[in-house]
Amino acid sequence: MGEFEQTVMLAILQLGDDAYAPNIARHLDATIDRSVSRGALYSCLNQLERKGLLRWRLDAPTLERAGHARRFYQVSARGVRAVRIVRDSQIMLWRGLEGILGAAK
Amino acid sequence: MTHASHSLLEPPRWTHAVLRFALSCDAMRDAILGDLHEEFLHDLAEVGVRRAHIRHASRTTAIAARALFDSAICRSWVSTEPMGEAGRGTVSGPANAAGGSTPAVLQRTRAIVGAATFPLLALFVVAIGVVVNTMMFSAAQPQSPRATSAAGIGGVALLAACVAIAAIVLCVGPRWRRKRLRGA
Repeated sequence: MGEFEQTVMLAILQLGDDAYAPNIARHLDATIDRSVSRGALYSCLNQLERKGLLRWRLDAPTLERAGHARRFYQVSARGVRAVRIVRDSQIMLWRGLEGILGAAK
Repeated sequence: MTHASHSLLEPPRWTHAVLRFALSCDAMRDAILGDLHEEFLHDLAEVGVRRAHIRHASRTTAIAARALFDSAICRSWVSTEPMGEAGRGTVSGPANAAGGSTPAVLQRTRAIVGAATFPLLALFVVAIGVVVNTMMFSAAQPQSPRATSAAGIGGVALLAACVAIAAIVLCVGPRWRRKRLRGA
């Protein structure tokens, strides 16, 4: 899993039932101060979906969306396992570096 | 409210046409159009009509460009089954992979664009080489003859490198694409 894919997966996990593309982009904008290109975001969501790390469901179409349905994403069980593996391996790598990097914010 | 001012409060129609061309998957396109519409209305209230239109256009362009690029490298945006619907086929994943309700003309155009990607890329690299070469020559002409000859050697070397890169792109690109298409 790439760095951007990890970020998107974590944002989806944090948003819970409210994870759809514009919300994911806004969440990333607000939390990590990173403006996300819509092209990159949809491409990433497509890749994660293909790998079986994400699942999706459609909401009822609304007038606010010109009659188009909202597509909500959820991390699949396989996705949760993948995120857990990445987290565990990264924790191992981060361990003992406080002396060089300082304490986390 | 006049018709003109009303139309400014709606996202421009050309964006639909662009996304219809760039995205083969109906389910994916529908959701993206909805997202863009929602964000347009949000921007309209937040930053005004002009900036909302600019943002909408830039988002649409970014999505279309990325979708076409992904399609060229055989990573088309195709929907899987929604959760809880696997096997029921309510959203036509496999059908959309083959095009779904997308017209055959669009399918063919997309295939041509995909096949032309690598020759266009090669042409682009050579064009850059030619432009930089010309710029180097024209910049060096008023200087001393020594500078001109140095610029000449540099320019020719750069042009040769660009031609070599273009040749590699032309040779390797289509083969790699065919290999990916067979694997997909």
